[in-house]
Amino acid sequence: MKPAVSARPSPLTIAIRIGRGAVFAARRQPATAGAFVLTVGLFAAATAHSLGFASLSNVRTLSIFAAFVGLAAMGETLVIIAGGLDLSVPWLIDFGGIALSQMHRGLHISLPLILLLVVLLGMVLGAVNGLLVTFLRAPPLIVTLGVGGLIEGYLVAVGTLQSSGDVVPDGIERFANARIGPFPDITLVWLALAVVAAFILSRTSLGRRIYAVGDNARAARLAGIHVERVKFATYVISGATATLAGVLLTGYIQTAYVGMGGDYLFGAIAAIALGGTALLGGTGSSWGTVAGACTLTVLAGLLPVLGLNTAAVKIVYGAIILAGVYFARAVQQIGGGRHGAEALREVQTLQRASGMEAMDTHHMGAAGRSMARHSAISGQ
Amino acid sequence: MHPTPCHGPGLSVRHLQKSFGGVRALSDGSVEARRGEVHGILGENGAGKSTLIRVLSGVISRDDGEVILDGQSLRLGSPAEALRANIRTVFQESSLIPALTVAENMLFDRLPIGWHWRLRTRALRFQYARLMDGLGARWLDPSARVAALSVADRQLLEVAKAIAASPNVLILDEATSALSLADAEWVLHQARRIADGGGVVLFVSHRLQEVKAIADRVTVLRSGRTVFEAKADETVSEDDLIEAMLGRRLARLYPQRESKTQSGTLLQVDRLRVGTRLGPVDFMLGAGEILGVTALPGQGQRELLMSLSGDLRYEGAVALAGRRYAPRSPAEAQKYGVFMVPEDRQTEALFLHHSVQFNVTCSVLTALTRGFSVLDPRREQETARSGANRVGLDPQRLPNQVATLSGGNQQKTIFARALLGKPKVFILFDSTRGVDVGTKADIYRLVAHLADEGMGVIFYSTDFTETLHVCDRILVLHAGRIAGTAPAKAWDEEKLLRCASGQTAAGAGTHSLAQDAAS
Amino acid sequence: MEAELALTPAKRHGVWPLTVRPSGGALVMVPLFAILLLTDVLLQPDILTKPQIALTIQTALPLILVSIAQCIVLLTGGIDISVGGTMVIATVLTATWVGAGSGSVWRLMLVPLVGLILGAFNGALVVVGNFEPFIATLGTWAIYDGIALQILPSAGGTTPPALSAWAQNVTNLVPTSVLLLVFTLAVWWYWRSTNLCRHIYSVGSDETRARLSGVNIRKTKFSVYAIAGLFAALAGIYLALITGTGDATIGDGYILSSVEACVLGGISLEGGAGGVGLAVAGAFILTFIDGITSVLVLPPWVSIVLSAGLLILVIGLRSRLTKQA
Repeated sequence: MKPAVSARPSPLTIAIRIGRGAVFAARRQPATAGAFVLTVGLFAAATAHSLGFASLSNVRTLSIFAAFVGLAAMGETLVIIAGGLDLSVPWLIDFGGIALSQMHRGLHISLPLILLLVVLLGMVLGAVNGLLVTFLRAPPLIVTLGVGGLIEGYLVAVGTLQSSGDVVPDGIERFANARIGPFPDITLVWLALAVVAAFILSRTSLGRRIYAVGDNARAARLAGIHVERVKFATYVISGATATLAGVLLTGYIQTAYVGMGGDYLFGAIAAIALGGTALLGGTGSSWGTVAGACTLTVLAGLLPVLGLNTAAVKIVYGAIILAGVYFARAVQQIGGGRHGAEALREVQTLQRASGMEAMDTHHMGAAGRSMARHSAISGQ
Repeated sequence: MHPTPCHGPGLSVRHLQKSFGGVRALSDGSVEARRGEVHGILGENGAGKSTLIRVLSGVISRDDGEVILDGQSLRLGSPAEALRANIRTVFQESSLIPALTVAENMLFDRLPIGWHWRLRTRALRFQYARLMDGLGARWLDPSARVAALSVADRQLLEVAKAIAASPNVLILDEATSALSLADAEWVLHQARRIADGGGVVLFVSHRLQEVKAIADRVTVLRSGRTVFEAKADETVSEDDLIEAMLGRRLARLYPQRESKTQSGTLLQVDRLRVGTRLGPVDFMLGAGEILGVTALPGQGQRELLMSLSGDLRYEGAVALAGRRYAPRSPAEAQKYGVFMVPEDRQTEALFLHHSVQFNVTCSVLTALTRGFSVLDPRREQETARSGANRVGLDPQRLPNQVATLSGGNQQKTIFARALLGKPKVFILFDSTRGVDVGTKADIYRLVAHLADEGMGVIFYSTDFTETLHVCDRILVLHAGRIAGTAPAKAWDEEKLLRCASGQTAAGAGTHSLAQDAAS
Repeated sequence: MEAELALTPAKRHGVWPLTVRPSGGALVMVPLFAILLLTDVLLQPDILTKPQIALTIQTALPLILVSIAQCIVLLTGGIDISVGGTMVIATVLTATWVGAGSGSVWRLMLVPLVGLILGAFNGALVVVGNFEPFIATLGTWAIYDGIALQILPSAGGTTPPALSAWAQNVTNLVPTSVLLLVFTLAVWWYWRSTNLCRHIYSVGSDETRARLSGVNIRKTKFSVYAIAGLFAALAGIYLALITGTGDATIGDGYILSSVEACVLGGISLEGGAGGVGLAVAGAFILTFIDGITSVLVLPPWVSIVLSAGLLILVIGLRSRLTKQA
């Protein structure tokens, strides 16, 4: 018998510990784990097809593209968990890039100050979204679409950039293409912010309230939560992360133009859905979106490698989104406790039944909607 | 006591069972109704009447039991199936489509369809006019949208729609509650006509006299069981029915509460008015007092409780501990120390996708942060534990998803949430509905305990017995006004029922005079 | 166009139109429509000649048809992102498969059927697969777009010349575009008094109540997506015919525009309120905005800002109106 455990744990114990940690995390967020498994699977398939896929430079490039999707989707994840939707993301990205270049040309202030200003302006635009959604009580889909249109109009009005190369600040170009050790800066920024977002969701009162508002806005109001303020905050955060994504994208592609964010309109939402966040709100996680962004990016990188043409890439892309969302939901039901899912269904039956009672009072609005929403989840 | 199975044509409901999330709503529901009879169904709130009706109309599927119509067993898996068997239910205005017109709703499942499924509008207009004239119903503009109708008109349309189909089984669930006297009489007349034409009419109502007047036979449900069945003639007195409905209760269910001395006014309500549905009402709530509020459905109780808890705007003056109390939101009401347990825990209180702890602490998050709104996990857990212990909820349950809990434990979760906010005034909105007896007893004890600590409790319940036993003073609402208020000892169930149905029965006047004698 | 807009109090046995009445949004739409139409006419009086009217309608018609598709789905409270995909499949099929030779024009009949099938697939995903409409149609949009790209990788192909000439004709006694618009409206006039239409409104207005009234919710939802596919395909065919060629990338712009048109027309995203007539009006509003900015030679941003601003304005006014109601 050895008297004491050796100071250095063996690699095996470390591996076991990591494994246990992973299993624990996977139990808590099965959909996230599922999306990561899907990513790894796709990656392995691509590598099996051509070894070059696993090369450091390719992985690096993939991680950068994943970062753009991830950043664009980060704030929107919060918006969606709170039961909203932000379709202005692509125009916020455009805005980030173009505003950066414009300010660089027009204002003679230091780059960090410009960056700060651009992100602040992005938050203001997000705030406009938030104000309109909460005050008008209008469907977020329309409001954010409208605000996106206004941003686009403004960007077209101030004029697209003639010669692109020299108007993007050198500093941001250097930053976007640099790396610390083996990791690209952009990827690190993304992951750091993902940690922050996950922290906000799981460890702060704001995060709790975001989940509460998305799960049951009526209950949240009666529980003393300022529903409007919470929703507003999510749109502001979304404005910030989307604008930041635009800034970094401009640095990386060394140009800025109206329409450069176009791919992220539905791409961001697809990443969020793949990560197991229901578009109806109330559930989901920021790590899920990270995983979803990875899945989408690996997929987008893998399909051309397999020799598929653009058309086939699109088809498979769509199919994987559907399969992935289906998979995420299935996994969530098994991992998240079959018991819970069953109970939820039962409760929904009860709600539908008790809904009738709620209806005979004139006060059926919120209850009815919430019921409809929940029965939409169960698909009945 | 079980109804004897009838032979020959009719509706036979045998031993229906239905549970929701572990709560037995119906454990042995049986009804035997022959064709040609109006069959009254009586029971307190929560006795299982609505569950029985919902099973019969296919809204929910039964766990066990049989439904036999004219010798044929029915599955009743969906409302459409019930309609196919021509079982028509008059829900409380709930099956009308607001976006469609009166005529379209009236003939919804029998729209005159011509060539290529096209609706024949002329035929529709004609059929509508013929039906309404044939029924002798009050004329409703056929082209008006249902969304624009008044509650009473909708209720009338709902009844007309069901009757127009000449149903095999017509179920009237509190169908007269929102109607004027003339319209209510029309409904009773039509029910009788359907029965005379060979149909089965199930008549569900709170109004005992109404049931006695119309029904040939009555079935009484209590705690999910059929306990009484008889001919509704002179041999059955109202007292018999009331006794069957209420049963002999466990005295120990209710905690002993000695009448206590008033220690000052906590909440003073003056001329409170909410839209056209409530008010003006005046009343007060003392510190350490349990004020019972009771009423039949839709008498303004929701407006009263929701306005006091900050959810609805109101006119009038309310003072809390001498200070003006005018909350603009529930959040603000909570800052004043007014907390409530909402009526419908599923749609108004719970976050079903989340854990019990999440649900318990969500009202007091700010107090659990240590700067920059970062939550302190340890403090949160301790707080949740203390909350759970206070209401007798097993702390082991805290990490579980709240949807997996029984109705009783879900209700305790909501109580724990409200109590963590340290309420001065605690508003309970029918919070014993749909929970098991054990939890009910726990809630009664808890409420008594809270009042002893000096909290003012407003205890709304539709269950008269419970209200009588739990509260110090009872206030009855009818048609948006206070119909009577007096110490609990001055009331009994019959007086409550009379007062709540708007009858100024003998003695009710003295209750009003006795009102706020203590203050 | 919307004769029922005049909210006359119906009399007891008087004539009453059996229609779903306009929501609060329509009250905003009518003045908006009138103002834009007036502006357009004042700016270019010669627009009132027959060929010019026909040309305006011709420009608007693809959007009108897609908006109708979107509108029907919105009425049930869903949304269809894939209309863009279905549309381009129809476009490229018309430009290649149908236009392959003089003997293949009959194939044009099959293209709407393809749209119906694609739409039915969406419906199956939503009804059987329990997908949220947004996600389901987002996925199929990518798939349909890909299929179109596979059929016609780069813009090209030709539509049957005779058909194109017919579709582009603006000088006939009744120009083709006018004919088609009238035909479309007639179909709507007919369709809105069908039972299916009523079920659609019931489902969109309140699913629980619809179920209680015996409506088969799954069947209704399924049909809605299938019909949307059909209309999207019709839009694609017409677009191909008037341009004379196919392009697999033109669909994307129509997705959000169709939603915009519906909202500008006054259709609620929550379902159950509005009608196809409103979607048509909304599509015209967008077309007028484009027409006005181009005739005034305004910079392109004006048109973008105008339509986006109107979108927010309409939503804002409507929530005001409904709040008061």
